[in-house]
Amino acid sequence: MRPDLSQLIDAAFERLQAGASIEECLRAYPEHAAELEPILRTAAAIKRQASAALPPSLEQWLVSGRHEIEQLARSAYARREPLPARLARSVHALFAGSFRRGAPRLASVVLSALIICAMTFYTVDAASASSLPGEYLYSWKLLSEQTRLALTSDPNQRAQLVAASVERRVAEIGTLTERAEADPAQLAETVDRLNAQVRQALAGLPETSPEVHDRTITRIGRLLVRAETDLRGATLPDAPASQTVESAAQAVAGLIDELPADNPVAPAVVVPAPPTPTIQATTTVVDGLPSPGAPAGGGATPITAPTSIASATPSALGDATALPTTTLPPTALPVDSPTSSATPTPSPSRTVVPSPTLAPPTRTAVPTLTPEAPISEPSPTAQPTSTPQPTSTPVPPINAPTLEPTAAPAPSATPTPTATSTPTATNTPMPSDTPTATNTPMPSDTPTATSTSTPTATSTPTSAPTVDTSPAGLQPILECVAKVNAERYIAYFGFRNNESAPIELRIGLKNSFDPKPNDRGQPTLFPEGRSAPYPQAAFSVVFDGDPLVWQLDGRTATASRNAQSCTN
Amino acid sequence: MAASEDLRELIQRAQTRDPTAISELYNRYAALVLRYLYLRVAEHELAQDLTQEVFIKVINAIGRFEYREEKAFLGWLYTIAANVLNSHRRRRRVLSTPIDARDDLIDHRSQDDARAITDRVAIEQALGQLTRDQQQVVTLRFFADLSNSEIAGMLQRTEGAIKAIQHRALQSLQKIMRREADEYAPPATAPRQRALLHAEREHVQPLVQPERPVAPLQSPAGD
Repeated sequence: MRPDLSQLIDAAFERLQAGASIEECLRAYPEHAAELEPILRTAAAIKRQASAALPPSLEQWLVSGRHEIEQLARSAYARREPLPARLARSVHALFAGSFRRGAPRLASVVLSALIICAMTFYTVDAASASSLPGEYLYSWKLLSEQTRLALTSDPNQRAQLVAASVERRVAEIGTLTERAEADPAQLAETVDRLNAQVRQALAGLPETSPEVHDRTITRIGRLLVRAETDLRGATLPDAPASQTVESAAQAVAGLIDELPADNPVAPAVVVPAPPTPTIQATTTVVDGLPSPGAPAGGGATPITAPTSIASATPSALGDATALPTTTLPPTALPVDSPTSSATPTPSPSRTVVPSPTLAPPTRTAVPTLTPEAPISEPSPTAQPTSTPQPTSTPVPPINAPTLEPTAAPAPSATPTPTATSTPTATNTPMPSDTPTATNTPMPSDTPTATSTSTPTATSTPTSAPTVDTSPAGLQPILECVAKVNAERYIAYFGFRNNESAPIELRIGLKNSFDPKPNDRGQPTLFPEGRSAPYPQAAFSVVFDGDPLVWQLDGRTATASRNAQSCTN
Repeated sequence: MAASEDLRELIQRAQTRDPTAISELYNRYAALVLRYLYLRVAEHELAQDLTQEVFIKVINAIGRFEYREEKAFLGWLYTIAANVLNSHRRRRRVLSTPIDARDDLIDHRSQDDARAITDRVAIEQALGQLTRDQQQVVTLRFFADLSNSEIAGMLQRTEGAIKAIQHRALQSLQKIMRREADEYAPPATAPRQRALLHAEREHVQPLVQPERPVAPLQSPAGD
């Protein structure tokens, strides 16, 4: 009877595979339906799981993992094949050349010597590849690695070589820990080497290309996690040994912590730029001119010239064009400042709305942003200065991504210019309204005129630059907390993306959890709008009830046992 | 057939130590391996590590693989994955992480519904309680999509024996899952909490006796 049922199960499963429903399958075998049903449902559940879609983060990992595997294949294949092949070609060339020169005996001798040396070298080298600490050929293995590294000058190749060495150390740790009784001294020694090589790899990273940089950090991070796992799983003979290996595991954990926090797990996604980004330069100047609605205070005596510090902080994603965002927070120390306005809302009579060429008004601080780096540089910082000169008339920059604050306040004024601009190379701001000499203050020892000029320059660049994807509009949300038992809770989190495009934020400082681990299953891609509320929350985290903080781009959402409870 | 020939050519390239062929194989099959391992270990990072380990073994062993058809390759690949998994479990045994100390059994980042979560957790736990032969047959049948006759050829057993193993495996799985559902699913509990409760229950002994040891496959990558 059993074999019959086995046949039936198989036949019914074939029907399921072909697209039939469970009920249809059962109808085909009515006399065995009761026995078949639970088994078929189990089979269907397994099949469903076997073909279920992977979580997005795992899908992303697959993409980045491909490079890693290819690199592993490359290094694995390069270790054994090319050396004798190259030697053979060299010997062949020498052999042929010697014969052409009529020196067959010399060629023969050299050929034999070379072949013997090469074969010896190759054999030893190949044998050493699988050697472990404490073994005879292990020193050769290390020497071979160092030699290869010394002969390589390209930073990217060097990074890959060092990462390959790190991988060998991790593999050695894995093999050592698999032994019935691991030798703690050998493990500690290998971890020391690992430590040195990871630091060597990190030291060389600044010279590598961004792609190699990210890939190397990712690779090393993953290897270190594996090493730590293996160390903690080692079978050890006694307590002192356990202590030694625990210290080694902690050293590896320390290395993991030292890796750059924004360790990219997946490639960055550039959010498409809006079609016509608006470059805004907002300048708020308080100078010696009267401001409508503002009381004209007299007797103000500036004692220091205003100093404007512009900091341009453009962000670039990958090779994208950077878009500098300039903020000019000038400082001035006036005495009895008549009026100071820092609002970006322009005053009606003193507001200029510049077109691409900025012709700043007289006695108006015209911010000049001169990024120190070209526009493709990621983090230029410009520090323009503003020099208050009562009668100066700054000339607007033409065809330059610069916006120079040149405050020209009257002696009686208290200039507090604040300029914020986001220029590009094609941006040539030009005010539509240029205040004329009527605003020119009279230099006076006792100035009485006070005005507030708040020009706002808004220009549209002729070409659309790539927009910084810094997710300023991301907000983490704690939906609620469900209690499982006294020591176990489930926090349901969501988010709100106030931007008009999806934002990707990898696991790292800006998308992390406190306490660690940073990666607790939170999303890395944040579609615009708000995520679905509980119970279809974006993700959930099991925790012990103590405060659990999700840090998302500078904002936090904290779950704890006292947080709002899930009601259903 | 064209795809099969394509795969044959790809494997030949890999056997001539062409790294890009390995990369292409990864591109085609890594998702299958990852899905399988993810279901078996229920940990993202661990599934990633084990998947990488599988392909490292592929790199080292592809030279000895004898290509016949795609399903044979899939069987080979899943066998490596199962070996890697077993090897990992041996390594981890000393750690003996208590099940209630793990907070990773629920897929935090998935948008799955409660049923999918419950199924996954229950299946992951239940599969681990099958005998090794049963796990192997279930893997090849349900994940690699091999027929019983193909599995029989691969494991050097009769087709009837494979069917019997499959039958016993499904029966055991069903019993384990039903018992746990009865034991740990209070009626008023929310779905996700039920899934967690599933995850928190203790391991139970396998319900069936071990099968006769199955002859190793080509033992492609070692273990």
